[in-house]
Amino acid sequence: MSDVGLNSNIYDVSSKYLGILNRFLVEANYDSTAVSPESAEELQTFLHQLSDPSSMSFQIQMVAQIIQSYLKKHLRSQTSEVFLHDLTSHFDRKMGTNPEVLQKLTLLAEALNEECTNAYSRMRFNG
Amino acid sequence: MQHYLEAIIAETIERAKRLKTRFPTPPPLHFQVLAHGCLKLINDKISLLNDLYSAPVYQVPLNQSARLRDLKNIIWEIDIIENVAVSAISRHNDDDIKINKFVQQICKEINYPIPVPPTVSALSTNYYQIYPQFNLLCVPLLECDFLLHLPDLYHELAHPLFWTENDDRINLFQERAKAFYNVVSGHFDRVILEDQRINNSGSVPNYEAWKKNWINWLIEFFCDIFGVCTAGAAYGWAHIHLAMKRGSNPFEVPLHSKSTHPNDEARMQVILYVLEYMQLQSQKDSIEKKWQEVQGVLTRQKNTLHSFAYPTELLRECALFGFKAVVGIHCNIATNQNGFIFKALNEAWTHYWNDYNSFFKWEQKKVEEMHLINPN
Repeated sequence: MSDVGLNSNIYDVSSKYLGILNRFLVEANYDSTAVSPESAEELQTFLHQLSDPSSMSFQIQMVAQIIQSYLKKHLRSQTSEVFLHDLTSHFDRKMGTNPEVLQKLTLLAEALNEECTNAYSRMRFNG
Repeated sequence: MQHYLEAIIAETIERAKRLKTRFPTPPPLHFQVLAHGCLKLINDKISLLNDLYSAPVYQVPLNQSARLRDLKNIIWEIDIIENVAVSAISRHNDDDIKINKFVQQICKEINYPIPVPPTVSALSTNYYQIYPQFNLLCVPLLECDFLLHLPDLYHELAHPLFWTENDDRINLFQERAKAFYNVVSGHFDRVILEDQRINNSGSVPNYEAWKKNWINWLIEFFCDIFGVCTAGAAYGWAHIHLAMKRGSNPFEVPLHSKSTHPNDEARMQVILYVLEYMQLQSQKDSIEKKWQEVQGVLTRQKNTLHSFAYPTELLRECALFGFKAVVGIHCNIATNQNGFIFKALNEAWTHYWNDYNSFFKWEQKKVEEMHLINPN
C-alpha cells in the first residue's frame, strides 16, 4: 500500500484548517477593525477545539498533533499548551486582532503550511 | 512582486479553464461521478483564484505572503486534479471497466458504508493508491488479472472512512479511532513522565516522536483491521506477500523522525490479533507460522526499541478498538461472508500454498469467471 491515501488526507485536513487561519489573517492585516464575524467565529471555534483535542473529532486530534509538535520545535519560553490557551483567551476577550496575537496565528499557519508542503511532496514522490 | 503574483494567478486560471476542455464528452460510464466531481473542484479553484486576484484584502503589501501561500496550495491541488484524476478519465481503457465492476462487487459484498463506491483506474504508477478527495482508487494496469494482492483493495477502501464528514453510518468508526488515540496518547504521556523522573528525559524525544507517529500509524492499522475483518485470512496472506516482495526492514523503528506507516511486524501482530478475535484460529496459526519463516529469510531482527514504539498492549488494544469499529458500522465481516469475490480471494491463497504450479492456470480461469459478474 502506498502513502498516497494517508498523505492526501493529511494534506486535505491541514489545508482546510490553514484556510481558516489564512482567511482571518488576511482580513485582519487589511483592516483589523473590519474582520468578518464569520472568520473570527470560525477561528475561535478552531482554537477552542485545539485546546482540548481529546474531546474533539479525529481530524482535530491530527491537526493538534501537527501544531503541537511544530510549536515544540519553535517555542523557546512557553509550552504549546500555554501558547494555545493564551491565544484562545485573547479571542474570548475579543482581542484576536492584536499584533501579538496575529504573530502567534502566523506561527500556527506556518505549522500547517509546512505540513501541507510535506504531505504534498510525499504524495508526489511516493505516488 | 504584487504584479508578478497577479500574473501567476491569471496564468493558473487559464490552465484550470483549459483543463476543463480535456474531459471526454460524455465521460465513460464508470468515470462520470469522478468527472462531475472534478469539474466542480476545478470551478471552485477558479473561483478562489478570482478572489485571490481581485479581492481588496489581497491588494495590501502585508498580505502578499498569505496570498502566495494560498496560491501555491491551489496550484498543487489543480496539479493533482490534472495529473491524477483527469488523466485517469481521459486515458481510460477496458481494464478500468473490469476493475470498477470488481470493486463495486466488493463494496456490495462487504456492505461498504459509503454509498458511492470509489471510481477505479488501472493507471497507478506505484501499487494501490486511493485519493479520498476524488474518491478515486488507482491500481496497476495488470492488477485485475491476478488475485493474490487484491485483498489490499479492502485496505484502501477503509481510508475514506476516516475523512467522510457528517455521515451517521460511519460516526462510530471515527469515534473508535478517536477514543483509541486517546489511549495511545495517555500511554505515551505516562511513559514520558516516567522517563523524566527516572531517566533524566533521555528517551523523551523518541517517545514524543512515536506519540505523534501513532496518529498516522493508527490510520494504517485501522485500514489493515478493516481489510482483515472484511477479506479474512486472504488479507493476512497478502500482507506477508507484500512485505516479502516489496517491504523494507519489517522491524524498522523511527527515531526522532516522522513516519507514516507502522512497520510490517507491528502490522502483522495487529492482523493476527484480529484473526483471533474473529475466532479464525487455524488461519491465524498458519499465517503466524509463515510470517516467522519469512523473517528467517529477511535476516533482520527486532531491536530493543521495538517494544517501546509498538508496545504489545497497545497493538492488542488497537486490534480490539479497530475490530469493534468495523463491526459497529455493520460491515459484513469474514466469519459471516459468503460473497463470490471473498471466496475467490481466500481460495486463491489456499490453492497457491497447496500447489503454485497449478495455481496460475486456476487463477486465470477464476479471473475470467470474476470478470463475468455484474454487481448491478
